[in-house]
Amino acid sequence: MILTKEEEAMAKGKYGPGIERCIQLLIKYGKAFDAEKLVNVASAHVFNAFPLDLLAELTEGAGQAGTFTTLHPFMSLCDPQCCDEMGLSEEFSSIRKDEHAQRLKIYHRLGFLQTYTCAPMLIGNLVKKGDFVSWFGSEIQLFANSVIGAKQNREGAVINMAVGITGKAPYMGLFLDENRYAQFLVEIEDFDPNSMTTIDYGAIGYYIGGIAQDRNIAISGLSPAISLYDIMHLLTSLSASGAAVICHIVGVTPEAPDLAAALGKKKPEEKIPVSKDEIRRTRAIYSDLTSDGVDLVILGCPHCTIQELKRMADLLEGQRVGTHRRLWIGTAHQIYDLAQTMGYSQTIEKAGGIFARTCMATIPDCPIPADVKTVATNSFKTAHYMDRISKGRIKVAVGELEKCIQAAVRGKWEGA
Amino acid sequence: MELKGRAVNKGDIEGIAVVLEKPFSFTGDFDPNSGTLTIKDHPLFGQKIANKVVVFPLGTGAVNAAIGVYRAHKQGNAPIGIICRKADPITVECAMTINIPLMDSFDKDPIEKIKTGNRVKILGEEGMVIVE
Repeated sequence: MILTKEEEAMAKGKYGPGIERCIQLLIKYGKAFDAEKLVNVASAHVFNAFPLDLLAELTEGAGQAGTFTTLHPFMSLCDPQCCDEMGLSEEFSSIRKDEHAQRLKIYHRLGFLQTYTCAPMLIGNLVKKGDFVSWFGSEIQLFANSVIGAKQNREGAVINMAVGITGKAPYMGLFLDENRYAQFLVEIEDFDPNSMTTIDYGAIGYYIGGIAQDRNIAISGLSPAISLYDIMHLLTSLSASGAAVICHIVGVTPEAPDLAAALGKKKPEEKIPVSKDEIRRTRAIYSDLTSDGVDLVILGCPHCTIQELKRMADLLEGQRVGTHRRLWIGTAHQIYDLAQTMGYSQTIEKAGGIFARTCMATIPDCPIPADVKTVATNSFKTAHYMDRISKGRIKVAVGELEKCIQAAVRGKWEGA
Repeated sequence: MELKGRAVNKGDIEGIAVVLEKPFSFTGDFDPNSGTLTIKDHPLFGQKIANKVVVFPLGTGAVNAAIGVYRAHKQGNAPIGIICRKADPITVECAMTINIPLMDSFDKDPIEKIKTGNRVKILGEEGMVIVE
């Protein structure tokens, strides 16, 4: 691999043992995939709940981070600000709070921004087409490639942290234009934008993710007028069932003005149709709450936008989350602050909603209080992980935001 | 028997093999707190891969896989070597994070040639696996 003088100095320990370990990791990793060089990244977004001793090792002697870097949400639903109110046991949360306080000293030294969100592009970590980036979180890895046209690989938490610390990443995979074309084509049939809801878009993502697996995807037949919010739901669901890192939405993705551009003028390896029938069947996977009350409503996977918080406030004005029921909302605290300025968050909190800066897919251990047996959510990703991590203890249903709020108030899962 | 391949992460170790015939995920198919396989309805469900050499065709782990492998390693529950047909980025990251030997791209198919329970030697420097 060809290294610059600065990279060589990093590899020889000039900037301390942490930087040395990180760049050695990146060089070895790059070599495994025939990377010819390292490149500077425009921005990083890193996994917050990193093992403390490994973090200390990777940052030993390091000063400021090598690039602009933001932090992912708290995991295990353990936001120090609200986990007690959410009913997580003291035994479970206290060790995690202590660990975070230790990590925070390191993050502070490196200048990592305390964003605690899975949607950092909504609050200032935005890049442009063609930038090399290293973002943690499978849904925003998809977002970077498919919506922004930035260049992002499927990167794990440790490699991603090494990139954040050094500002360098191996030039490989989707950083190269020739590897970005789609091999897997999804053709939407009889598309009627007026009949589509956010959950329908989520269902498309959830359905195609499992079939495409790790292949590059192209979707043709959606309207270029699709909202950014619906795209976020489509990509987030896709990331729960599959491992694709780029999903060309023809007419939307910067590199895919038309289908030929998305496919690199080649024939796709595989082509599948998606009609109303596939959408209906996918929605039916998580719909089984008709005979049960709803104990907990979870919104915010992906983290809620300011527009969503306004809709919630409108629906909850003068209402109250029912006794023995809970409403948890994941959002960035920067969005929360804006909602407070507008009066939305006061209305939501007065009604009984709790805001958390955590991953709402309950990864990796689903510490939901034992009295919660049923969950309603507007996210296939939340449903997917909760079903698996709780090993079926919790029954979960997916529905529109309005239906979820209604369930939080009335306790019944009903209506459209 | 000898298999010649590429050492993605070097190192020499010797141990008992656990062979999976299908793609493997350190996030869904493995419990870091016990070091066992958790693949539903699989004959090797509950089998320990802690301190063994795990053999699989391809990795399918999630982006937080290396964190789980690191936690397993700290508890003595991680494998000591990985052999696969073709290493994917997440598997390479996992092996490098806890610095265990990882080999791929062999002259013979490791999934066919190695059986669960075989004693195997990974010789990273020589790019060779010896199956006893």
